[in-house]
Amino acid sequence: MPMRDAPLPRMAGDLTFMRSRRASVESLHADNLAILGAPIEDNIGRKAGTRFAPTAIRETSVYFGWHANPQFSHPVDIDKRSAIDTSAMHGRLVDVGDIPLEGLEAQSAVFAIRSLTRRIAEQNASTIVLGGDDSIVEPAIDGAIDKGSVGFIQIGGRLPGHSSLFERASGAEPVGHDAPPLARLLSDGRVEARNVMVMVSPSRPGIEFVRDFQQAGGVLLNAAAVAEARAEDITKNACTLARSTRSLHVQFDASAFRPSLHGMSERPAFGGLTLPDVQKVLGAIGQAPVSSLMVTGLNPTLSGLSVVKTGLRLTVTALLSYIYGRLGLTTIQAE
Amino acid sequence: MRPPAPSLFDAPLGDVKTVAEGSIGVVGMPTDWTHSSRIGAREGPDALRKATTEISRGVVDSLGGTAVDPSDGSYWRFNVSASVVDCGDAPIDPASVERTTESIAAMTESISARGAIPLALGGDHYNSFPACLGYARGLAKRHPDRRFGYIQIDGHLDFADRLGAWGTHNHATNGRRISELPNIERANMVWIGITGWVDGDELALIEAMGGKIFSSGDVHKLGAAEVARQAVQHATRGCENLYLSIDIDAMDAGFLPGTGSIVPSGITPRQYCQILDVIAQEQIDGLDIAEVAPSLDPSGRTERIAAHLLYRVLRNRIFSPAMPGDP
Repeated sequence: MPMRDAPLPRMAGDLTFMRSRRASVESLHADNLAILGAPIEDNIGRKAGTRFAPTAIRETSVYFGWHANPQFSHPVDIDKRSAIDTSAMHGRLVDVGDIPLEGLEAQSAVFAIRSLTRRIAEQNASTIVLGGDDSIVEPAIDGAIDKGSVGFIQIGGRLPGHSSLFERASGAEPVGHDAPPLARLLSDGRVEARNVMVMVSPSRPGIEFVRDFQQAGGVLLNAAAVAEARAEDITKNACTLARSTRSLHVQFDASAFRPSLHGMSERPAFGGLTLPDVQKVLGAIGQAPVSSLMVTGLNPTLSGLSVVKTGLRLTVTALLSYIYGRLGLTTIQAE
Repeated sequence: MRPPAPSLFDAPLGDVKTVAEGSIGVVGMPTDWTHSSRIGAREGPDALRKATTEISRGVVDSLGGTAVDPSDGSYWRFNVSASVVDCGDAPIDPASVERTTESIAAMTESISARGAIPLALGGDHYNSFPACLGYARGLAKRHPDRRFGYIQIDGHLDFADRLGAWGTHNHATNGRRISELPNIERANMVWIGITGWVDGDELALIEAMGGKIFSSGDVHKLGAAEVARQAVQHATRGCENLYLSIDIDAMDAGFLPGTGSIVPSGITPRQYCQILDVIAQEQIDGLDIAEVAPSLDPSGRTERIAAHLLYRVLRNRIFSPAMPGDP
């Protein structure tokens, strides 16, 4: 028998996230976890390339598409020696493609993101938005904000570096276009600090901001605190946020990882989490009714630590924890 | 005089027939077309030869051939010419897996049949199968009644029966094909460093045949040396002979990205060395190292780390005890 005699299904066909089913926004329903690409880089400036992340993440994800590959029987987590039932993915994980942003002016792009995420929110489906830089966060949340108060969890990514942010709602100069999304969301009251949890920001927030943010009820955890936190407690906090607001949104930035693990973060900085810690956090948050998770700051055009894109594999591996939690394939009991 | 092209640790070049009993015969396997994704391991043998000469020349040129082990203050003399012969590369036929397989196996068989130790340099990990095939044939010639144990350090099981268009002979099936060799003790097959998801049927098959798997999580939980100790214990039960297959991708991709199938194992270079230090104490009769793809890591550290891994396995052979002041 010849040693090569069959097609290679992993590499062929329509490129969707993990070989999931292609779907239209109109066909989504509450059971769906929809992948949506937002190929935009609007406010990072230094190293262009995050707009290529949606395609790059999808390309990497096909290596993880066990549920869609007849080659394999069923996956087993070798550390836990536990079988993973991926059958739910066939029906529930869908890819709605990219938001058509090519060639749009910034304002039009923001409007397009806001419009599409609002349509998905109206279908009550949960979304994973593949950025893009962190300029996707604000319009993606805006798309859901009409329905009421919003909870926000930020993992990695930028924080406001200046103080007096909380005074800006009373008529001061508006926060600049390039400001971190959290600054813009807090400054005009669209998101309240008491509904925000920030984990592992590599940037150095202003002391006054930290003071005011925490006094207003915001939660700020550094990498050491996140590493020590129990998954059950993270789930509990996320569920509490979800219960006290109308919708819960999560930003997962590539800078959440330790920079020694990969070099594809748009804003690498010291600090950060190991892969198991990121998996713990995303798996725990995935147990809560999250409306959208936004992947930001991953730049596939950076060589990273080599021409092998370790950052992409780390990101997809971490996302699996979230997806499995969100689809109910893993369970963490919050106390 | 050094050879015009680097040899492994600057070992003398020679034909497989010149490898003496008890010494090591090096065989390059510069092929990666049995890899299913990112290629580049065809450049592995040359990269390993160059990188190992950085170690050997550091000792010879800078230290006069004698080095001190800082861990215990002992003196060691570099003595590769007495223990290693680099036999060059096996002829590769990119149009035929069968011919390439037999070409590599013929060299390792010849070395093994002489009572020497074949050391095969990949190439993608499929080539571990022809390297081990030749070793097994050579062992059968010397000791028809003996069976051998097997340790595979790897991020992946490589135990599929076939892989898509790549068929039955590729870098995902080498462990399976080796398990089918007539004189391997299948219950003595051990894997170290497996990471993430594995195929449930393959896992069940390995457990049914009595094989043992230590995940990367086990390495972190039990400790690298303890895992290696237990692995050796399992692999050598009732077997006098042991084959070792080193896939560098068991190491975390952050340390070692120049390989085709990277994994986030968290296994550090230090842990990998601790594993090899324990296994190196055993009588290894044949070994290979695979998946060094230098073109995927412009920094060059992948082949340097891989060369150091080889040094840890071979240092008791390429160095001999010395006294202070020895020439």
